[in-house]
Amino acid sequence: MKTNSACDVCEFNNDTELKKLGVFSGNYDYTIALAGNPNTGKSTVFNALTGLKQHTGNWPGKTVTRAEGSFAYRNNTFKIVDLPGTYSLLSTSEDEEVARNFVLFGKPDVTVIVVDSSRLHRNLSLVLQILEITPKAVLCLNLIDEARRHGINIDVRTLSKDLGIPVIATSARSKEGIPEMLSAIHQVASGTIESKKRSFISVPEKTGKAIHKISDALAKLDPELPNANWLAIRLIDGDPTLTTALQQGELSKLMNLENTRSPLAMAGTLRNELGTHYKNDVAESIYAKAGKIVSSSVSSATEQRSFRMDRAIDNIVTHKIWGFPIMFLLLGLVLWLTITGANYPSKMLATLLLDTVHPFLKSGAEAWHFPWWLSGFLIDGVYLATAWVISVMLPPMAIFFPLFTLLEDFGYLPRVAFNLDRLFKKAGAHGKQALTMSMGFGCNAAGVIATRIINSPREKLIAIITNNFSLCNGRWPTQILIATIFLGALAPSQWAGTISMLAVIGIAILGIGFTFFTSWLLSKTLLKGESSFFTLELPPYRPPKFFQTLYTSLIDRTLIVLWRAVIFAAPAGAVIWLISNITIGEQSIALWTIQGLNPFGLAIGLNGVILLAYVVAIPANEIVIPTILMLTTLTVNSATAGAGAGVMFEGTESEVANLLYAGGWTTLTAINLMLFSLLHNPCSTTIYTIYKETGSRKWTTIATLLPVFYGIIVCGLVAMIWRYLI
Amino acid sequence: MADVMDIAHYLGNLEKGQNAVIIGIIADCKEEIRQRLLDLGFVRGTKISLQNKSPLNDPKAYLIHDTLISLRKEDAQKVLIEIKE
Repeated sequence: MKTNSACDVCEFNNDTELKKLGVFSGNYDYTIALAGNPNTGKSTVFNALTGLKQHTGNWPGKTVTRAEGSFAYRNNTFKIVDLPGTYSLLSTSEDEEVARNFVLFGKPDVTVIVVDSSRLHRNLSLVLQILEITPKAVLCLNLIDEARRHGINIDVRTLSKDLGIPVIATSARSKEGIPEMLSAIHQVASGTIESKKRSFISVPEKTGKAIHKISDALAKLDPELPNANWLAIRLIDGDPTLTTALQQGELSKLMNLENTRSPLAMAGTLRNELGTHYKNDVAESIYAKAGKIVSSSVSSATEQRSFRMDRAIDNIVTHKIWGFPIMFLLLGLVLWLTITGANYPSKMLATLLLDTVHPFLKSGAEAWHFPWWLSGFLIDGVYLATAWVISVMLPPMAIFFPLFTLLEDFGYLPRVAFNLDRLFKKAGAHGKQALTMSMGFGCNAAGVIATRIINSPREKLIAIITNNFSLCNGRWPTQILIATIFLGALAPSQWAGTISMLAVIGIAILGIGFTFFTSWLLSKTLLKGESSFFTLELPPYRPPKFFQTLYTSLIDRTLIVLWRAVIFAAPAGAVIWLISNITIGEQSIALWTIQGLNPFGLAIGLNGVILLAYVVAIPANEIVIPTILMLTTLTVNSATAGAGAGVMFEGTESEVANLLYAGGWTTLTAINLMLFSLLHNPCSTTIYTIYKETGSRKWTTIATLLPVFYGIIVCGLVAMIWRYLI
Repeated sequence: MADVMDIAHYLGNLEKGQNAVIIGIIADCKEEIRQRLLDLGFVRGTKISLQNKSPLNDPKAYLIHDTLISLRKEDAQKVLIEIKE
């Protein structure tokens, strides 16, 4: 797309000296920290420098753990660490600790502070706090194009003079200013530009005197201490990490447990004296200083800045009457596009992997004189299950994730959380769970990963455990098939489509009901607690970058999830084949198991085949139906249907219907299968992801078994009522 | 203090179309929440207005320092404001 223009080869273009190294391991000449408020395009700056495509959602708190990348510039190599976006460094939240500790203890050679040019006043609060810790910084006035559009003019020189650090206006999305920023980073890192340490936070009156007292005491112990003022501010606040660091000499070799005793005791006394006024005074003075700087360097064309477009969209999407319908419509549209859109590529993949490659491998194995069991095990078992998972999972995900990511990047999803928070709060959960729940409709594993945006551990666990109640992509086709065959058939033919569709939507809504019920239940029992402080920034709407979205959502969501599914699909395929082909006595292990499970299965309105299928098809909900069909042929001993013991298959609707009726299915079986498909353990990919996210066997077990428990109870109750009525 | 309390309102009671200035955060507020509010810019002297109510009336989104921040009612009640019309 991009041709080599004259600029690309011009020697005055600094950009040509940039080599993006992605994840390069080795020794670096310099370490750079990338800090900034949420929603300032920090990740875009990171990507522009390193070439790594980190997903940059228009969603506060996207970079939850720090990301690292590297680049080379003018013969120097740089490691760059993307810190979590924070509003401040004064709280003790996990994000702020990570950011603060890296800037303080990691001693980066340069800290690049990314700010949103349209919101300089708010952003400068963080900038001033960082400058209290280190003067080796570069200010990146990002989103400058947006600011210009809003008629905001920033005097870069004055700002740079006031702050004492290089200030570069950039628009990272269009790469504007990146060469200049690289040059500034290089100069600060190499010491060509020497920034002088200055103190910006000056608190008036009593509180100010207190801070001076402590900082003087610290300076007496170590006159070289670069950030005595800031340490004093934190110590009076009782910051536990810094207190320990100081006592153990981590901040200055001249300090130890002994000689810090008196300043620390003094700080404690002052904390008690000043009380709640202390925090207020510090925050106020920071904002006042930021305001002063802004007033000397920023001029707006109009007092009322033109965010009118954003306001207009917000008035519609959070509207009292239209807010909810728009939300359901958009989510419904995304799901509909996913389900119908995936059909065609799924069929193509199936034709290729199942109808062409599979017979080819079989005949190849025959030509090589593989014994039947080996070709069966490898090709009918391992290969087929893996190929099946890929062909049914890849297309819906490749459609759902980009669509969802577009909504996210545009900035709509935080509005969904805003709209639904009230309901989640009543269930003792967090508004951001609205996003993870919606994500679950695409894929529960991705939904579980998305819970990282929820800060409170209690509410994050609730979101993880209940994610499985969002009917995922893998289960919609099962629901639609069974509803069409069994429920649609009950209605007059002109209504059949509508009835089956309503039944499936009903199941999805029931799932939402279970999400709220379980959230409430957990917050009253295992995860007792009040719902935590909820704040949510509603970021400005930003036009998503279409191709980048496509690329990153494929890389970070689709492929990760698919890969995890494939890892589990291969062994499951082997198990499915083995249990169908290893016989004990007269019949296969599968048949023995089915017979063993049948009494219980039938009692709860299902059957042994279904229960066994749900156990062995754990890698992906997508292979449940093929497994059920294969197992059913074993039980009915059908010579006409199927492709052999242990070989999964699918057929036309009428073939499936005939086989299932032959297998003894009734309307009750169908209804209960739909319910059980909603209420059973998550797939192995999701279970593994839950374990990864929680790091706890206990919570993984609860998240796995709770839905099964629900499923058995609900199916049992439905069966009881059904038998009573009919 | 007496005249401050005369003009003080809780942020949660701010109506659309009104402009207000923050007076402070109530004394009876957990330290952690106080710090969070301060970090978000809820400091004395800051202009604030109500931008959006969610469909169920809670939370509400406030425009503060050119950013929309949404707060639940119980948290908004911790912020004291003076209404300037």
